[in-house]
Amino acid sequence: MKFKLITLFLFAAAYAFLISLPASAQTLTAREIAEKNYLAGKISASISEATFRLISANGQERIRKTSGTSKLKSGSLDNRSLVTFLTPADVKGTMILTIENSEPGKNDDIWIYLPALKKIRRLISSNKKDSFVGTDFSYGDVIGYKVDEWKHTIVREELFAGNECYVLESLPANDQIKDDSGYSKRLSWIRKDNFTALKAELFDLNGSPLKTIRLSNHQQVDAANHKWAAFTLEAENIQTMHKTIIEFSHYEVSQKIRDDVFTPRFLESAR
Amino acid sequence: MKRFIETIIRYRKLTITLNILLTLFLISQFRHLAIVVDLDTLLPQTHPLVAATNKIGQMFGNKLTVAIGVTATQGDIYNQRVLGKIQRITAGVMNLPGAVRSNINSLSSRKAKSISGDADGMIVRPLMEKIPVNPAGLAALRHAVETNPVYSNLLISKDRKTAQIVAEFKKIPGGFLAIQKNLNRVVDQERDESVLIEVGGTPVFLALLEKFSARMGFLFPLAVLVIGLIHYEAFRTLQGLILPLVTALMAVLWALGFLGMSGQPLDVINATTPILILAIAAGHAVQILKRYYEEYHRLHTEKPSMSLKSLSREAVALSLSKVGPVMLMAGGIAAIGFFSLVIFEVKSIQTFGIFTGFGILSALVLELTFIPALRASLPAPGTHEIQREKAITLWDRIALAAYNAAQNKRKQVYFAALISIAILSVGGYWLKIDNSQKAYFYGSLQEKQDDNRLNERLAGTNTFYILVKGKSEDSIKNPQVLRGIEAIQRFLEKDPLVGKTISIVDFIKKMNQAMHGDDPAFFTIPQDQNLIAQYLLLYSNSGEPGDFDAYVDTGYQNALITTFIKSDGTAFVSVLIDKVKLFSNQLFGRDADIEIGGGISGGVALTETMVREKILNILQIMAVVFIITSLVFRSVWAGMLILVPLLAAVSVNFGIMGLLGIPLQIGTVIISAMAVGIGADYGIYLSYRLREELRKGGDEASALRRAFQSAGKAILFVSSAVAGGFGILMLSWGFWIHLYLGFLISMAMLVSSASALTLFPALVFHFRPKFIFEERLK
Repeated sequence: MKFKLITLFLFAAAYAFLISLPASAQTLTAREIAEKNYLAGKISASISEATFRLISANGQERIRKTSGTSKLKSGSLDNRSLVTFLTPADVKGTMILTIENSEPGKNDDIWIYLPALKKIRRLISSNKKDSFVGTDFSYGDVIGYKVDEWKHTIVREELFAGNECYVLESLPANDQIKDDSGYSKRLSWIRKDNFTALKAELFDLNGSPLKTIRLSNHQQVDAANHKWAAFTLEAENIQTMHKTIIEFSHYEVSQKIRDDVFTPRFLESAR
Repeated sequence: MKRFIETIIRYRKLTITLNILLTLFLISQFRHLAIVVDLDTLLPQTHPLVAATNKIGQMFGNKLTVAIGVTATQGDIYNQRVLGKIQRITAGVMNLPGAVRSNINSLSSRKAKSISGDADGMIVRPLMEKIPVNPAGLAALRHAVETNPVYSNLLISKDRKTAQIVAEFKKIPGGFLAIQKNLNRVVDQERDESVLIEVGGTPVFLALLEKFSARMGFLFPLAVLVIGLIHYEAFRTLQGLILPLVTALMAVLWALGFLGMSGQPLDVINATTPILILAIAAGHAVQILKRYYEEYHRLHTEKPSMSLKSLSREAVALSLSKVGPVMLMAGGIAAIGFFSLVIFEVKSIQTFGIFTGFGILSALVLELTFIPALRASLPAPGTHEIQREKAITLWDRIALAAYNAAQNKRKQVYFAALISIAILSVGGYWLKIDNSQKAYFYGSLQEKQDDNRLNERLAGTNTFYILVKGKSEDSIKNPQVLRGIEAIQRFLEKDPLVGKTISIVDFIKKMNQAMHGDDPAFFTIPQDQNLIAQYLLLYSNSGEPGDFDAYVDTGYQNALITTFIKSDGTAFVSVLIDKVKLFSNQLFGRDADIEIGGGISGGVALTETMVREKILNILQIMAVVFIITSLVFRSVWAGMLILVPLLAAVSVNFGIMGLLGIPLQIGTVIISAMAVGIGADYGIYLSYRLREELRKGGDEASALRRAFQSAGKAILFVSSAVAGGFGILMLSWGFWIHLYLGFLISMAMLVSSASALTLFPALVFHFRPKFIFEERLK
């Protein structure tokens, strides 16, 4: 009798486990979701204007206005972007050129043009965990994380901000990726319908919560290619309580951008 | 008065019930009592240093800095074992409740970055992301640390033997003891033979303050016991032991209840105040009890036919009608004196005044209602008890000796008084005012030794800050302002006790050097504001947004110069602050101005306020005593003579402090107020009794002697009980504040009772003022 009860219990447990597996996991893998999300953010070319609001732990705020240009390398998903500061006056004309290099063994390139020095400088340590022009976003957060450098799992599906979402857990594939990104874990809330991310929770190398990124105000900027862009991006460092909000006032997909804009020579000629 | 007491006796059951109900109600008010260990309660809030401290707190966060030193016992710290400890302690501290994560600085914190340069530009990297695994890595780390002078003496000592973790903490529930306990848990895991670990800084000492103040839990009952025993020795009766203590304890309970209702917080410095209330309340109770026994004995002899119970009740009414008004006057004067301390700017002293004032008023109410009702309900004293109380003891002999001195050896009394006042005034000349918090504690305590060693090896565990306020956003990037900041830093660093200064300038100079291929010739402030702004932007590409939060605000309108100091003596810091103010005057022109505050500057503010307010405070209480005494006796003479024992007690207090090198600080500053408050009672009780006995007529000498044997003897009882109760505090090992209070109050009681019993009556007998000798003059 006792034996039978245990068997019954084991069967019940196994059955409960099987039905608890999410239905969608059988149709779309975690990796596929991550890939669709990565692609959703790859916009062929754009021009934009944005306001950066840097907010300190005690609520003091600093505003910087920028204009931006971006374009994917031809035949590649690697992005190139140029950000130019418009205000405040003392950094006006400062430009930052970011070139993503996905070939193995190559680092991303970051160049900065300082008008006061009238010289371009190459930022040598272009680790993805570095701050993106002094914001709470890292370069990695802005450029995006290559799908196969992370191991993805769907932890659950839930409604977030009124949208059906996958909650994707991404763990660095190796220690190098972990060190370079500065994250031991990422949790992303990805919309089921268009695969844009709405929120990310990022954990530091010790596994403690480090940042929360919220993306909102999504607009379809390229209907033909089903591309969406978040017009409001917010990154909050939970450890320092520092916060950055980037708001796009203008965003336009444009095919007219020349490739030579994204070269160090262009920066030098811009003075 | 007599009719009032008779009513109380008639409705004694109701009176007792009402008193008990009131006591219960007041005990229920304890729930509103906030007990705080808050430095703010000790600081004069409108003092410029304190105002600046608050401003700095709002802009840059409140700074309570803990310093943890890790010293290698062999070789230097550049080895994996010691670096591993530094990394683990840093990570551990980072995760503690109350730790300000963004302001933890150590070789392994993210905040500590190396700025260097090469042909391409500036390289910004955390000093030590991972512990180097080979000699080359260790050498590279050493190079990075040593080429960033901002970390020298702060994160690592000049001899490379000690590394320091500097962490900032906010207050947490459970107080500083909880912070210290958490810190010890992190640090203790890393202690072994390879390192010495020392923990220092303000929070450690605030934790000690909490710990030692909690000793009142057993010191108070001990004081109660000692006061009770002295009363028992004095009266030799059980009622003499118990009744004054009942009044005293209830007065303490009532005062705590009233304090809760008033919303005034109870701070650590006021933890000793219940003993004062206990002592004063017991003192009044003793005067009345003494009189009760006298009256009872007299009635017993005069009306042997009366029942003992009625005799006792009649004695209660008589004693209170005679002593009650005196008690009301003496207690009223003291209470007004203490309440008048609310004009003090320091919250802690306000609390002290209100608390003690409530305590005295409570004692008066209890002595006029609860105690007569209770005594009338208790069985009358037996003959045996009366005989024991009446027995001639040492107390009588002292009282009579005092009478003889005042009457017959006046010259000697004056001479002795003058000599002692002269000697002690000389001592007062040496009196130093210093609010060093660390000086509250014995040098032999582990915490003190740790702190001293950290001060010897590194920049210093004490800080204060210079806030440079620019006119508008980005003012701080102005090269002129930056040069001014640098000039202040170099000026401060000339002082041998200043271990280090840090500001945004240190980083900007390093950036400039990095951008010029690390050429040391460019370790300077650039000339162009835009260039400075762009360097900072460039830095921000590799740093983190909060990296400079401790040095500039978000808008670059205000900057902070942190000064590390090896001493927390306020006398020294006060001089330094004045010098900096003078130096930086005109330094910035119209671009910026400065304010100084934070850290140990609070002690300076306290010292400066105390000098002024202390004198004011003593004068104030004396003025209250003078005015009310003059009014009540309708004689200015009375007011002046009453002040004599008080002046003696105060000057002896300051004299002894000067001679023994006891500093005047927040703990000792209230002693003279206590001495005056209690001392005034003696003169008043004695004066009334002298007048009363003289009014009875008869032989003047025996009338005066009788006054000495009753009121004089009671003064001896009271002063010994107060001295004994406070003397208990001297048992509090490690904590100078308790020791000073115990010793100085005992001394003050000795002096004020001695002068109330010799010098005061000598003057009275000498000048024969009308307010005492009126009947004789007629």
